[in-house]
Amino acid sequence: MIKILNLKKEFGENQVLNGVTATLVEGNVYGIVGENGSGKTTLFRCLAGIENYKGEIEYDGGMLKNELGLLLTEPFFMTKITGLEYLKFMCQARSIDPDNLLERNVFDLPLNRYAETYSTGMKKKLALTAILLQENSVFILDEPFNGVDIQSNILISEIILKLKALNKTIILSSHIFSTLSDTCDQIFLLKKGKFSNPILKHEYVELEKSMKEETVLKRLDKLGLK
Amino acid sequence: MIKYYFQLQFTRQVRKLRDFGVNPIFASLAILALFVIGSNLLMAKTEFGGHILLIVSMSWLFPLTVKRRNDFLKSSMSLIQYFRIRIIENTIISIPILIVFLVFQEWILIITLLFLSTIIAIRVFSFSSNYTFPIPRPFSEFPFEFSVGLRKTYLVILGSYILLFIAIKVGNPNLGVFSLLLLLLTCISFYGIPENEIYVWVYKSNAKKFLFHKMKFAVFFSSLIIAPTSIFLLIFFKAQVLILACFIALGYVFLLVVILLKYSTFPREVPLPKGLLVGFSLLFPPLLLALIPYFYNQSIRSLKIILHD
Repeated sequence: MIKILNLKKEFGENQVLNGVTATLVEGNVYGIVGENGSGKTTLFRCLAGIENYKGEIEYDGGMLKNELGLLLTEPFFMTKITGLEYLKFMCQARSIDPDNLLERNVFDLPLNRYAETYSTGMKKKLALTAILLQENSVFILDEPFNGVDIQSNILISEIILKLKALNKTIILSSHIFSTLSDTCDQIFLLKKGKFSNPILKHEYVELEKSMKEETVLKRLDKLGLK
Repeated sequence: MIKYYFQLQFTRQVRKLRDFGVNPIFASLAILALFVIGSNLLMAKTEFGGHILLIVSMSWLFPLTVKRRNDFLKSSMSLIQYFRIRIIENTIISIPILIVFLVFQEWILIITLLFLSTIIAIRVFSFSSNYTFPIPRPFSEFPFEFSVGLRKTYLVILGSYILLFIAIKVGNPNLGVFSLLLLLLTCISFYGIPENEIYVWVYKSNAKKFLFHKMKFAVFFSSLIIAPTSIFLLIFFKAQVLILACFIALGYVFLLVVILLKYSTFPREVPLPKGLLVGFSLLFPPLLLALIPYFYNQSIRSLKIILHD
């Protein structure tokens, strides 16, 4: 279980996270939604311990960092390193010696090519494969569906559900509402640096409707399209 | 548009120097002074100084041919603007060396440099594109520094082997030692720039173990790279054994110091004053006795934060 208590993060005068509190239980998929710049990625970086923060993050499974698979929006790849070498590196960093790496290449990536030459979607798939091979207990997936082809999107959704069945904790953000409603047990709306009350499956239709109203009706007219 | 582009480039350079921890004016003057002294010595004291400077100018011009950068420029402006910018920036970069050639009346080199800088600017070919075929490397998958480093510097390593061959052929031990130093410097350069913090964060390890893991593999793989050169030097220049041993030992010490230096400020880049301290310790090695424990403690502190140790 992960307990986030009154998490705060500011960049200068910009208070990005202003008291985020939540309890995340294993075997569940949690969706985080919020506008661009609302602090989702900052929250993920705080959970991963890459950013300093105020407040508390408690994890009862040991050191969270060592059990965490982190997929960032734009995964970073060193130049001149092949996909296969990246996977091996990521596994070795967690002291895991995976068997049949080539057979476990579920996205059929050209692993003998330099990772830097991959397309955006391929890079995301490579980074996702790496954290899956690491056998983590907790997964943070920041926009896992972005830039990825339809077939892979379906596969990623299935992977998330499989991880849930394996009693893992999954936290994901997405701007595609259907991907969240298909996979998440609860959704948190991150607004003004705080989480809303958790929104449960039966409330998703209402949530989507209210988000559409706020985004479309209130703002479209401002554009003054002609 | 073109004026604004160069204003931006100027601002970038100033920011880079500031981020490096130095005053831009002071740094520019220092670089200028170093260039004037260095190029003068090179031209006056060596036979092929002009040719070396020509190679130096190419090493400044080639990075501007990177495909991603040029694709970006082409997509954001008209082709005429793009070629203007490329020709102007290549000329600006070539000016210092052109002045040196002018002072030493090296007319052929002036024409060669102008010709090459224009050709590189219109660039019908790419000097530094991404190879799709990975260059094989003799190391296992880790540490990544050596796989990546070897692929980036394999030409330098090949060059050092050619120098070794020439040294043996003409019986010049100094050139042989130089080829060895070139290899050691190449290995050290693999640790010059900090990796993305995720590549440290991902380790399930504590700070001390992580640091020793990095240092152990750095020494091991560097030894693999310098082994052929060292063996040939010991066979063909037996009288220089002591000098060679000293250089190799010093090379290993500096390799470890650079690793400690990199992680002492991790994930930030090493500020210039710290780099200068290490540079100064080359002239005054006892300084290392103070620097090593100092950088070690700072590295442990930085890594503890990233590794949650």
